[in-house]
Amino acid sequence: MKVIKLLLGGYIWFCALSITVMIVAFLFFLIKNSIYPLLNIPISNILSELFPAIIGSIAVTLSSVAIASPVGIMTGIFINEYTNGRTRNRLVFIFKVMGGIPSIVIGIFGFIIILVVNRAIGYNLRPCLFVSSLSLALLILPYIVHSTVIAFRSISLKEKVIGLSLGVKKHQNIFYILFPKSLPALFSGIILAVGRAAVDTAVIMLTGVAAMAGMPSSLLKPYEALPFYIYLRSSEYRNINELSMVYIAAVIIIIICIGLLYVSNYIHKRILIRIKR
Amino acid sequence: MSNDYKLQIENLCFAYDRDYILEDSDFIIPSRKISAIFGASGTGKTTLLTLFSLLFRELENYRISGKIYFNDSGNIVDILSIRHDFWEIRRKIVYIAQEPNPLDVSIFRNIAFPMKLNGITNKKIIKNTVIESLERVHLYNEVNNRLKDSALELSGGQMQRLCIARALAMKPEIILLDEPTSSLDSENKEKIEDLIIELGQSNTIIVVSHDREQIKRVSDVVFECKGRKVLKID
Repeated sequence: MKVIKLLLGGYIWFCALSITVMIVAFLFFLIKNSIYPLLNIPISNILSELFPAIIGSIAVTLSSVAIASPVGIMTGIFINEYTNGRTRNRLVFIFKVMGGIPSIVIGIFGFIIILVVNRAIGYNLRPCLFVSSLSLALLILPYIVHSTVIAFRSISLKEKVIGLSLGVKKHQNIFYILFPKSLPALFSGIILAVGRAAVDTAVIMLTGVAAMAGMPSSLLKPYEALPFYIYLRSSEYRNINELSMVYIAAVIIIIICIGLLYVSNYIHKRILIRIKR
Repeated sequence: MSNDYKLQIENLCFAYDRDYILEDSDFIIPSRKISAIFGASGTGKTTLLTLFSLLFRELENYRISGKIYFNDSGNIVDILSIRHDFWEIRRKIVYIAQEPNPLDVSIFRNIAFPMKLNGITNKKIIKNTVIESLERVHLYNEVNNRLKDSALELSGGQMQRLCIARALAMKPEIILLDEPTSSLDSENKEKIEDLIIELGQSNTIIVVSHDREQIKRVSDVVFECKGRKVLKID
């Protein structure tokens, strides 16, 4: 028994340490390789090359989260609070399946939207920021639905009936009492979704991203994005400088993800302070 | 039904997850008196309160039959026949849980918030009602200089009195108290018991308890949950 306990403890430590070491080593590798071009290539050159992609990535990520969050949260609330038994289980299963759909399939779905709009409606829609956002929203929707269901499910029945026992209407109970309680878990889901949307390449490749598209000037125009820049440059680089730009882009995308996480946390804290007053 | 009665229960049966908790129960809850319900654990005391407040409608896998007539100031309604808008009944028959459960907001907001959600928007009325409710549970003097502090900073006894004040602010017809002193020390227990006796002079109160001494002290009418039945004890 003692040996099993020791082995299990050792295995847990090994897993935790090896993952930490891998992540640290990966970050070290990225940062080390991005320092070289930072010292040798003028910053203005780096910025002029990467800035449109940075702005495009932020724009497509935020707009997809803005589209998916209200829909996902409302769907999650509906599943948890307005359905019962078998219906709830079926809906949860459907969204779990949706969460497992490969992003390239979602990309094709977005591309089909463009074709349908062109052929059925006759509007000359081209791959653009809007279609990418819509497709990415579809990609991250299951994460937001799932985190909302989990967040609301984690509230005990005792807590759920505090408002109801005082004659508060069901929708008021949900939005004024249960929703604030579930905010921390909801934000975790949204942060995960932000991370997923920020780094996905397959969806945007088919729906709107383009090389050398410049700064995103309209929702209906193509744009640049860091994941696509990394993909394109790493597969077609001609010299060490171009490869180095890929490392810089990778570091920037990580910084953007961390930045968005901090912004989400800040908004979360502000909302909680307002609610508690 | 005479107007002296607040609730009249007829042939009440309730099953949860296929297990019958109550069967063919008939009894009457008198108006403006303290009715106590006692019995061993798992005999359906708390279930009865959730039936009166219609909170059982939030559960799944239940079966219910029978009638619960509620004398709403002369207007008699079978509350089990209500299928939607339970909030109207819950506003009149207010349930106070065993564990004090203030919201994670300020003391003032704990009382004002449900009032606002129930459509009371006049700030002066809200403020006066909050003060009046806190005074009725003898909490105002203890918290009047920290009404904006979190309700979670209060002691267990204070929290329970705050929950009662929150219920009183709704001006209910019936107050349902589920083991209100189970999580309190003897000093706070006595305070809550005194409060129940005081409130019982002007309100209909149903208190669930397993403490026989407490029941003897506070109640006017006693019921026992035994073998899926609710029996009146003389």
